[in-house]
Amino acid sequence: MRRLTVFAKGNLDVRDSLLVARSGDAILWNGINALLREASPDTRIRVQHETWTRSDALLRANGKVPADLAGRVLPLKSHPLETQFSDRLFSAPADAYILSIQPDLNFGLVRHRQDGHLFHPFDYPAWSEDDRQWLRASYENCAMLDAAASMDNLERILSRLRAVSDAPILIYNVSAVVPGENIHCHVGMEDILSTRIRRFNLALISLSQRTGVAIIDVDRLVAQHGADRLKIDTTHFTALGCEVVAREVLRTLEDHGLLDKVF
Amino acid sequence: MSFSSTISITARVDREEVPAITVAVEMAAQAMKMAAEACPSITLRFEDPASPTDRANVAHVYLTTLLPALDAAAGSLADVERHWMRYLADLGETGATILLCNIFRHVRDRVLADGSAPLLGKIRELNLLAVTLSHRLGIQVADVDREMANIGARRLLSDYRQRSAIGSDAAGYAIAQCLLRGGFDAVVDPAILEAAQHHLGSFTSLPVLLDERARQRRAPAAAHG
Repeated sequence: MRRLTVFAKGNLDVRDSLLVARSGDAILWNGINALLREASPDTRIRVQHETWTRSDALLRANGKVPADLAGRVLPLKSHPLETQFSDRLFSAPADAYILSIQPDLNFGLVRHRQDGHLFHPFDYPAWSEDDRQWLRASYENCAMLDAAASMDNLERILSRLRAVSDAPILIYNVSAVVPGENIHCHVGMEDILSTRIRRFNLALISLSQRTGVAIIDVDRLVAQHGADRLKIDTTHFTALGCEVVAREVLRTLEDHGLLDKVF
Repeated sequence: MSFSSTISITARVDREEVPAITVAVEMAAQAMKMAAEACPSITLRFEDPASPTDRANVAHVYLTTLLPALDAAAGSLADVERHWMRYLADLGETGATILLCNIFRHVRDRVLADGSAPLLGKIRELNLLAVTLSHRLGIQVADVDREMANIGARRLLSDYRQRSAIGSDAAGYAIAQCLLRGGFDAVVDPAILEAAQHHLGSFTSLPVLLDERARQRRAPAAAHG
């Protein structure tokens, strides 16, 4: 049995399509190997997944949780301190690396008032009053990233990765169909989510042209198959959405010579 | 405030978009009729988008589209933006309401061997330009791209050119929504517009509407054997 290792740094878009998508206890999509079992029975992909808060936080991460945070037990759920400050992406050996622009599009971070480290207070409203007061006293809000800053950070991440590995790097973009958004006149709405996504997707094309990184064009796939079938909300896929995106990942890995012809 | 008994629309669009515009006007007229018996009628005429605006015959609403920009001689995006700023500002001087249709981001068989899709990239640039033009000039954007992407090219049997009947229906629905949600504000009683929007239906009802229109198209054909 041939086994490929893919290191995936991203959130639900990446995890659901590559590893598993669940609804409660029910498994909706059983990951990229569900496709490989039929198409290439002798090959399996081992997906190592880490959640991701944002590109600027990753560039500062050194694998050590800051002392001020290490002593606290916070209900951070899918964004534990270990992954928020992990730099495993730059040291984990893999046959391919998969990233996404979703964290930079969606995540707001806070910056520590003394040492400047960046932190994502996931599920902040559910924290205890004591923890929330501590957060407000210790951190200040950090602006959302714009497309230029995000791509600049991603380019630096790609350079660091390239310094240690020649493995292909794939980046998911995000579909610009935002459910519930129905705007016709954009005056005063310069940064609504669909416009922000469009800016990021275009900037990612330029980054790809400069660096050769492969884009998993989720936006194109959604337009082809229909957002009403592929998406639950702005970034989360249905089971069919996971399958379509996973198939595109396999096709791209095949183009890079990592898989025999699977489709 | 007095409102018009007739709404004039001039469409300066690509030839491929004529069916969608026709559907849009038909849907908007039908929705207004359902909202109020005594609603304004709509007249629609087409003008070559490359021709000068007919100042002797100014419409209440101008429907424009970025599709011709896809085929225009290649220039920098800044050149394209300057051209459209001038063109739409000139049209705006007539005092009419301006609607700009964006482009469905699906391109068939245009992905190159290296995985890139230059035409798709250009569509994405133009769709972002539509938003920028709306920011700067206050024009309305008919989000044909979003409406068609919601249903999907496979089901619509259509790419960016809207060459299928169901594709034209979906694009027409997006344009009709835009007409009723801003395009007719200056000429139709808001109460009629609000009720008409309700009759046209919401975003989620579009698949049902498309199925119904496809059924209606099949019915006469079946009747003729």
